[in-house]
Formats: sequence, structure tokens, C-alpha cells
Amino acid sequence: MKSTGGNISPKDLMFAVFCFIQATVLRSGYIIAVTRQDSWAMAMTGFLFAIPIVAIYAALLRKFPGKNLIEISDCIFGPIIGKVVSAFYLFFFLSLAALNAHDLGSFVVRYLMPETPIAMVLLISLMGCAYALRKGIENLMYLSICLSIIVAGAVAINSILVLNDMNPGFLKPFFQMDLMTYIQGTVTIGAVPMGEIIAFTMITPMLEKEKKVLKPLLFGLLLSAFSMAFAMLRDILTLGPLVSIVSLPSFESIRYVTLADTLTRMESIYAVVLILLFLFKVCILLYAFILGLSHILGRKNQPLPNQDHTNPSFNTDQPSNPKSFPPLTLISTALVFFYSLIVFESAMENIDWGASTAPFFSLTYELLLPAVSLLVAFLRKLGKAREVRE
Amino acid sequence: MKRRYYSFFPQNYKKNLAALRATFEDSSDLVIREFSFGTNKDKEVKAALIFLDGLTNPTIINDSIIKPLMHDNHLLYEEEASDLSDLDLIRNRLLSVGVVKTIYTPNEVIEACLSGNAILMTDGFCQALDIGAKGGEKRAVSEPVSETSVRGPREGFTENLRTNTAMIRRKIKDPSLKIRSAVIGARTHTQVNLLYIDGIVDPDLVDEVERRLKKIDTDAILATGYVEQYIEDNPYTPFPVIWCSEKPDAVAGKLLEGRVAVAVDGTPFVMTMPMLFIENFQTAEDYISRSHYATSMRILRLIAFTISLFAPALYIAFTTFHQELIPTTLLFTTAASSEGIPFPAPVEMGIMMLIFEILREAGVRMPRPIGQTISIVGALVMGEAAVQAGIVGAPVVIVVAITAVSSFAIPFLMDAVSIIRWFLLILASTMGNLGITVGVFILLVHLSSLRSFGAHYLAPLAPFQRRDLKDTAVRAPLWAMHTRPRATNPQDLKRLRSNPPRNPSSSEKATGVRNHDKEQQYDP
Repeated sequence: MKSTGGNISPKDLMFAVFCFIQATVLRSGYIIAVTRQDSWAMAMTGFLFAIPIVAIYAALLRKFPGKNLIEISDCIFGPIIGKVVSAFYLFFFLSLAALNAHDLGSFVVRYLMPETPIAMVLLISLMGCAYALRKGIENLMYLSICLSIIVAGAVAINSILVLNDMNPGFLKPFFQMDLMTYIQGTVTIGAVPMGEIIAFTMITPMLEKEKKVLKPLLFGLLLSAFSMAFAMLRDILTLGPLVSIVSLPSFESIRYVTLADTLTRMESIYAVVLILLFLFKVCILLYAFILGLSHILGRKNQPLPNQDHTNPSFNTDQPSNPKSFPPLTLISTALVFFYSLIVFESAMENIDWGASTAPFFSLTYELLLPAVSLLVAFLRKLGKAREVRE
Repeated sequence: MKRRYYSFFPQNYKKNLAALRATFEDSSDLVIREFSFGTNKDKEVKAALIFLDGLTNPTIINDSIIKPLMHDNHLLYEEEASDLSDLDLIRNRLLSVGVVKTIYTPNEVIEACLSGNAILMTDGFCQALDIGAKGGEKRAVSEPVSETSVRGPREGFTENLRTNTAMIRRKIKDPSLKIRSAVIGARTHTQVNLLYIDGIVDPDLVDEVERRLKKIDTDAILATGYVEQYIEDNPYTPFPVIWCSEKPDAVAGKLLEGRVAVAVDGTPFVMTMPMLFIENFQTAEDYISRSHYATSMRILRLIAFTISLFAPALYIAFTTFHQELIPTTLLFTTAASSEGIPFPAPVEMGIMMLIFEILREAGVRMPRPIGQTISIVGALVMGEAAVQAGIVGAPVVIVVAITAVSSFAIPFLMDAVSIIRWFLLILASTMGNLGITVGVFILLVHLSSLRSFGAHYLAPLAPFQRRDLKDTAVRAPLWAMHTRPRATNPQDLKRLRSNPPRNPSSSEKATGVRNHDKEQQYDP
């Protein structure tokens, strides 16, 4: 019997990254609106753009093994400035959690339950997330491969069923837009779905091999890039010029499916998958926020309600890693709930934010702050090398 | 262990018997047979044989204990026969019983008596003999009621612990099969046996199970379920986290996978641990039938599980929130059937599910002929009458019926599913598809968080173990299942080293070639 504490395998992390990004990929409308029929190529260039960002995270995590991003900030900038930097990160995680929760809510209200108030949708979704966090983040990470298989299966089946409606001509003309449009597309994809994996820097200390971070993160991104390109290609080939008008191209393309006049409205299956992925993503972001908040407030992790079994490896009613169940879960979830209710006043504001402001907002926290942290760590000669010399 | 010599067996033999009678006061089944034996009248030994009537075997008492002592002492050597005051001599030369041991304390006498042994006390000794004379009425080995078999063995466990362990021993003829014993229950003194195969099982697992068994502090253990509730990891989950079976071949199979079995005296069920979620869909018959058929049956059970869990919730979600997802013709038919029904769909479904649960419970508890009557009256008459009276719609009856039938295909999960179904129904009634999806998410996380004696309950799906998938939804051929499941952390991972059966023509060719080679080799 292996101990279950902190045993997230690199494979779990890789597929968790895949699921995390898929939640955004399936609703790729805001990217397709910019680069239209060439959007599929942006998935690959976006991946290339994200490589240095991930390399910075990996370098930081290798320099401070066993520490998460907030703890690393404390080490680099000291207790006071470190707390300020951590507060920035926390704000980012909170915003991302709220934005994604809002995205989930608006999707459900718009496509599934138009008469239901968004607050109810958010409440029930966040309750599910709070339950998942209470059970331990690593249990969620273990599910990532299963979820990935479900997602891949759904994407493959849907794509096969719309083969009949595809028109390769819709891909033309190839790369006729101006360079700035492609740069915008690349940065948007690199920053918004891909750069958000900064949240995983709060989970990496729970890896089996703490130092092997770069490979699973990069492979997870690569897998997501291929999947994103594939989904975009399918949507462009199916919808043609319509693709840049609709906000959820995948949802609209699957509406074309009709099988023997019985299997219609397959988008409901897609909706279930999308909700599952959103819940997964919000959980990861919420966890990053909660863990950081409890660290800043100096709250100790709560002891888990285990049975009185003395052998720790069998003491497994709840995961034994103390970082897997931080305090303040319910309060933080409530905070995300209220934040997500007020984050956007209208759907148009949401779309405008996604296309124009979000990349710059995200890059500040995803690229600028970690890069500065790494630079300071090098200049102050902090991290593992110094510890070894000492 | 240090033996403490109490003054229970001193020369005052009558006083000892009086104390024993006082202990078993008002117990009419206690028999104290006093007699004397010996060839020499001067050295005649006064003795008493103590046992509880009904728990012992009268043949052993009469023919193997009393008769040799009273009548067969002429078989002894002359010098021995003259003095029979030595208990060791009686044990070694006179008693023709398999199990005899010397005991020293009053508590040992009481325990031995209660467990069905006979006690021989002799005057003037501070010892007594605990003679194995267990007997009494017991049920014969018969076909298990809860797990019937078409091609597999038909024998099932009985209420007798030793019969049960013997049935497993007959399946696994290996000295590595170990059977540790423990007595639990301050009043019931229930014997519990822990079985495992040394060299396969993880020693830590055995120690852990034994430790949890030793920690049980209760006055009564009457069945396997009592022990299960004291040693399981997750007391608040609706899912079973300890597997149990009535079939020796199924338990033997689990032991060979590196699990530990716990047998409790008085129950025809044996538990095995750790348990994985996928075991709920496995049967002993799966490994006997062809792999294609077994695989299709497994998939069928998984579908049945999905239907029994989600059918009522999906019906409510579709008819209440997402009518656009129902094909148009079906939507019209459903709407026509539900016309004039006074209740909203969730209430309608709730009433029907409640009636079904009552019918099921009544059918199980009643004697079999009445149980059948209840099924007919309940399912046919009430269902038909309710639809005709316009109280519930026909689609609801159909959904509840298909849910019920599906749940019978997964007997291990029937209890859990019947509870979770309500949870999903409430979610679907309030939040439609979103509610069901959140419910699925919560269920998945809950299942992923469960552990059974350190093993991940959802393994090999979460955490994902590609190599263990060969015995999940797909049951690979036996020759392809080279390894035991990693979730049980077996010491000996390799199960077999056999190759797949070859085409007869190619094997003949191979044999021919080999023979030819031999002929060449030995040809002078």
C-alpha cells in the first residue's frame, strides 16, 4: 500500500493541464473572432509563445523545490514585499476563478437554462467545487486522465458526426491578414488559456518528483495546442464564415449533427463535458487562491478528520498531504461567488475584455511578475545553488 | 506467554465444580458428567466432563472420551494402568480425540465450554483438558442464494467458520495459505479468521487488517457486516468499500490477487479487502465464461448502473427543463401520456420511486410466495391502476421500471444506487442538466477520494493504471492477465507466465520439427 500523500504523478499533472486548457478551448469564439479561418494556426504559435513562460515557472520551481509560487515570492522578496507580490498573484487567481465561474454561469444561462438566475447556477457550481476541494485537490488531479479521455472521446465522436457537413474550401484564403492580427491571436492564445497554467505552480510541490515540472507542463500544453487546433479546424470547416460570428463555435458546429433523425441536439453532450471541464478549472484556480490566502494570513492547515488508524499509509479517509486541504475553503468560495456575480455587467463587456484587455491583464501576472522574480532570485543568488554552497 | 496458575484447580475439586455451576447458573444446557476411573480402587480418580449440550458432538463425548477412560484403560501397560492420576498420560494414551490441550485458568474453561469443547477436570490437579468435541447441528453446504452460477461451482459458504475455511483450503492447496484466528466480542466471543496467501499479499496489509480487528471493542459480533463497519476506511460513504461473497471460488480468486479475506463464525459471507469500485461489476462467472461474453456482460452491467443511477434524473431534467433535447415525436407521445396528470413530473417520479422502494423491501422481507404476490399486486395492478386513474403518467412508470430492472443487474451497488438516485433526482428537479452534471462531478470526486485499506477505490481509472485495465470494462483472456492488480500492491506481481494458446496446425508443425530434431540428434 502506497502512501497517498503528495503522490500526484507527472502524468496526472500533464492531463490536468490538458483538461484545464480544454475548458477554454471548447469555447474558442473570442480567438476565432480575431484570426478567423487561420485561427487553427494560432494554437501552434500560441504554444510557442507559451514555452518561455512555462520555462520561467519551471526555473523558479527548480530553484525552490517543494515551494509553491507564494512561498517562492516570500523567499525572493522577503516577508513584506513578498506579501505584496503574493497579494498580486492572489488577486489574479481570484479574478481568474471568478471570470471562469462567470463564463460557466453565462454559458448555462444562455444555452441551457435561460430562465434561471445566474446566481443559482454559480451557487450550485461553486458548491460542487467546494466539495471537491474539501475532498482534496489530489483526488481531482487523479481524475484528470479519465476526464481527458471523456473530452477526447466527445471531441472525436462529434467531429466524426459532422464530417458530412465539412467543406475544406472554408479554410481559404490562407494567411492573408496583416501581421498584427496574427500577433494578437498568438498572444491571446498564449496568455489567456495557456498562460493560466501558472495556477499549477501552487500544486507542483505535491508532485511525486518535485523537480520534474517542465516536461508535464510542456507536454500538457502541446497536447492542448493540438486539440485546440483540431477543434478550431473542425469548427471552421463546418461553419465557414459563420464561425467568427458565433461565440461558441464548437457548440454551434455540433448542432449540425443528425443521425438517423434520432440523435439530434448532440450539443447537450458537449454542454455536459464543458461544464465538467469548467468545474475542474475553477477548482484548480480556487485551490490556488485558497492556498495562497491561507499562507498570507498565516493560517495553519486544518488537521484532517481521519479515523484512528495508526499506520499513516492506511490512514486514508482523506488525503494525508496537509496542503491538499487548506483552510478558508468556504469563505474563499463565497468570495469567488460574489466576485463572479459583479465581474461583468453585460455579455458584450465580457467579449470585449476577452479579446482586447485580457491578454495584457494576464501577461502582467503570468509573465512579468514571474520573470522579475526569477531575475531577482538570480541577482540575489537565492535558491538551491546558494543553499548547497551554504 | 506466562501462564498464571490460579487456585482454581487445587485439590478442592467439588468447590471448583460449584464455582462453575454458579457461573452457568440457570443454564440448563450445561452438562457436568461426574465419574471415576482407574483399574485400582485405591487409586481411583474422580473426574468430571463438562460441556454444553447442543454445541458438542455426542459421539466424540461418548466414544472418544468417556468410553476410553471408563472401559478401555485395560489397553494401557500394567504399570501405567495402576496409577491414572497423571493428566498427560490420559491425554497421550487414552483420549482418542484429535484436538486436546491443557488449560490452566477458569476463564479458559469457560471459553472452551462456550466454543463447543468438552472439559475434563480431575480431582487433585491444577490443570484441566480442553478436548475438541465441537459438533451440533449445522447447515449443509448448498448453492448460494445471492450469487447463482451457471457454469461455475455451486457450493456456497455456510454459517460454520471451519467449514468455510476448509472450502477455501480445498480451492487453494498451498501451504502459503495462512489462516490467523482472533476472537472478537466481549459477550459473543465470535471467532474471526483472517486468510491470506503468504508471498502474494502485502505484509503491511495483513498487519493493518489484524490491527483493525484487534481494535474492535464491542460486546457483540453477530455477522460479517458488524466487523465490516468497525474496520472500513470510510464509514459515511454509501458505496461498499469491503467486498463480500458467498462463494468460495470467488474468495479464492480474490486471495490469489493479493487480497486479505476475513471470515466470521456464524455468517455465510466472507469479506475481502481492499476493494475497488470495479469489483462491483465483476462476478466469479466472468472468469469462467469466454472473455468476449464476459466483456459484453461487464459493459452491460456498467450500462445498467448508469441507467439505474441517472434514468429518473434525466427524465425529469429533459421533461422539465430541456424539452428541446427530446426528439419531436417522442416529445408529443410523452406530452400526450402526461396530459391531465395532477402532479409535476418530479413529484410524480418521487411517488413512483418511493412505491418501488417499498415494494422491493416488502418483497425481500416477506416469505417467498407472499413476496411474489406483492410483486404482482404492486407492480402490475398498482402501476396499471395508477396510470389508468391518471395519477401518474405511463412514461414515469416505464422509467421507474427500467431503473428497477437495471439496479437488479448490479446487486453489490443496489443499496448505494437507491440512495444516490434520490440525490440526483433532487438536483435534476431544481437545476436540470446542470444539476446532474454537478452531481456527476461530486460523485466522481467522492469516488476518487475513497480508499479501501490504502488502495484507491477508483483504481485503475483514478489514478490511471493502464496495465490494470485488462480486468475492468474489458475482461482480457486469462492468458493475457499476466499480472495481479497493482492496487492491492502484491508482493508477487506476476500471476502467470503462460503464452496464448497456439493454432493446432502451427503447434503440430512445431512439435514435428522438434521430434525431427530429436530423431536427428539420436540417430546413430
